[in-house]
Amino acid sequence: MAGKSASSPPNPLVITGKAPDTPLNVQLHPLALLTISDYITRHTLRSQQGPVVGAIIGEQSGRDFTLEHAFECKLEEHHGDVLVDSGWFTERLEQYRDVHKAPPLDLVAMFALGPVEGPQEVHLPMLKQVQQLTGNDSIMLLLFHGELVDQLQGGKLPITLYESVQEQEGTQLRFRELSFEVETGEAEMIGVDTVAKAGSTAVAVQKADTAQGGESSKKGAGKGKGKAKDKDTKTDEDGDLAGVLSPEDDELIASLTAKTNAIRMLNQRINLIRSYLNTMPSSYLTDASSTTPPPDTTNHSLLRSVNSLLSRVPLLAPQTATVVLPNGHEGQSQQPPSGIHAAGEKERQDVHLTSLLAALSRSVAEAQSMGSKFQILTREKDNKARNTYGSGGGRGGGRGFADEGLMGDVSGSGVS
Amino acid sequence: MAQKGWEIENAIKLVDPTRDALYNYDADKVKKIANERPWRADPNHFKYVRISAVALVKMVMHARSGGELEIMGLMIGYVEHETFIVTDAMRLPVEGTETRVNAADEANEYMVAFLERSRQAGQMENAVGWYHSHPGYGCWLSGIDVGTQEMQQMANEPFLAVVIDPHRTISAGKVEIGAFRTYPANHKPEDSGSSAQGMAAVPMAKAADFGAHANRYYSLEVSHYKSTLDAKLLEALWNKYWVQTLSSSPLFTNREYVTKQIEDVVAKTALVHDSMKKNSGLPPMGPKPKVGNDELAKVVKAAEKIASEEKMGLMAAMVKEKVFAAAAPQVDQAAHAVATNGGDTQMADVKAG
Repeated sequence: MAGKSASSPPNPLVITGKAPDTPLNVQLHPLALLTISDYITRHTLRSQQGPVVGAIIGEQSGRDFTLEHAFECKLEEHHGDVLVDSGWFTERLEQYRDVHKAPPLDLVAMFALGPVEGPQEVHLPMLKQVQQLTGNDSIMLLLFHGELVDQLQGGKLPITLYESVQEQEGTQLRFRELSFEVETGEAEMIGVDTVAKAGSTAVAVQKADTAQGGESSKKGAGKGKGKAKDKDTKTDEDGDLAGVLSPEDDELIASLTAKTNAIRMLNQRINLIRSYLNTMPSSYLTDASSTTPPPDTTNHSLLRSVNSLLSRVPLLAPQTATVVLPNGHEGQSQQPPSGIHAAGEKERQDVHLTSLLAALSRSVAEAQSMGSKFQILTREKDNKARNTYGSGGGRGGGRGFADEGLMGDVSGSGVS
Repeated sequence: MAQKGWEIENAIKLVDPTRDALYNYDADKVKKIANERPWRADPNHFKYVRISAVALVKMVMHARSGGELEIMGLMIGYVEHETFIVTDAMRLPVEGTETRVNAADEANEYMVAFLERSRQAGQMENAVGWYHSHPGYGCWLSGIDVGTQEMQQMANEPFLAVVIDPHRTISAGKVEIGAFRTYPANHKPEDSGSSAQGMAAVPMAKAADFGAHANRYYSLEVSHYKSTLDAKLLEALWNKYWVQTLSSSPLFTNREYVTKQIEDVVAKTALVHDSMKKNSGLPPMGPKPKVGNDELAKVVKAAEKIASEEKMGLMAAMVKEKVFAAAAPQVDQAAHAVATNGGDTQMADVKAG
């Protein structure tokens, strides 16, 4: 699961080698992972004392386990060992059991930050204590590897799951690595998907009426406000905020990143297939004069699926692609655009239309706000004029009327 | 305490103080705001809600797990300026909350004990709102909900009400969630039509309940946030679903949802237009243009949201075309070349063998 470097000495606590014949079937839910990550962020940012340790509850039926929800634990120190506060822990577990009754969830694992090498001495007392408290010896240990987070590739999660094995009574607790898969329910998937796509960062909230928002740029703090303010103050933005993108841009970048990763994955897989094919011995496909029959070890079904994959690709060719005309020159195909092509065009036009409408609404809103600002300005000017030039009332009045006409025009055009 | 093995040093690198600022908690600032109470001056003081990734997923899953029964829970967090920040959510052992007035009281003991234990573990945030579900009938506040929220806003300010519809969430593929605050009993909102207009999708059976109380509360704008660590983990998780990422056609699958959104914006635009017409007769003074601006700004934001979602959908389609279809003719030719070769040789083999 995690990338273990071959050069580090083997961890005495970890049992290597094959798992027993009836392996445990473990399913990890994304919410548990998110909860752990949320706790790590909070714990670190708030400079809380002590290590990051918590519990995971899930469902257990026979050899099938699920890891569904997680919560942090209150810790205490006992002769240098880090333990959970047992009174706190029992009550907290009971509170969680109360609200997770259908299906009934119970403690299945503890989580902690840990190195790639595996569980360390410091993890043992806590795990043993919890196993005693709940009377359940099969509590697993999930280690979160902080050092791997920046080198994640190809969908590998920076966590490893261990089951505890006690070979004989009285000997030390040891661990064996478990494989798990990620499983998710419908609601969970939609929730996680929404959060993943949104691309919003947790930048601090800015005060609405100060000049940080508004027209100076759309790059406000990630609050999603692009409103033009009625106040005219315009100051430079906070240096930090200049680097923070608006939520729409963030969303766009997030979705493009997701696509890039997906394409990278596709590329990897294609390269894998290609290198596999390269290892195939030469046969009549590569060299037309060869007559050696394919060896018996060829995986024919695999080759057949590769072949069918390749034969499907040409179906995607757009109809108006350049084709080689019979006279040897390339030219445009004379066929009418296919149904798919026309539908694609229409979709494109619809999207551009919505963009246009949105831009239009924004212009209307800005024109209207400009109108009202102008109105406020002229009103203020009028008031000042009336106060200072009592005698020039006629002129001020005249100007006032003219301005009112102008105002009426501006606000009218802004709305209609 | 033995530090080695707990990887505390590594944890520091996993957070970004600027981009994860919302995860911090300043107890003194919270106390100061609680003493100042800026919300007393303006019933519309709070305008925005930011929900953390964990809180959102927990609430959606809880709502779904209740099936046809309404469920209820508590949100913890803090407030800053005009925003509620919801950092976490917890379930309450109560069900079927829409028909009973004091469902919350049954859960009082549980609530108090749970919050106390959370505080002991280092999670110092106060309760900042409650959430409940409306399975299948949309996000709004019923008469009972309004009553509950009014009481909470008198006793436990600052407090927020959140409603989730798990059925609509599943069918739309997007989280259907709304956040609300009630007005004090003697307050008359300026444009009483707008909140009713915005929630066009209330089923007939509930329409009476909805209409009768629609003026007593207003909705806040909901957005969510996640930490930099969350983002990295989610990227890794979603790499497992890369096939779906590439092959999805959001323009096609979300057609109904987008049409609904557009209709909504159209209705809101017509409303703004009407209210403008009413006001433009007399020279506009003071608060009126500001209200108009607010409404229009909301419309603009909704329109831009639709436009950007559509753009992303189009980008997905374009990516698909470029990756798969653009090179297809060459692949086609290459495939034909190989096939003919194979055909000839096969014949040769048969003849020879």
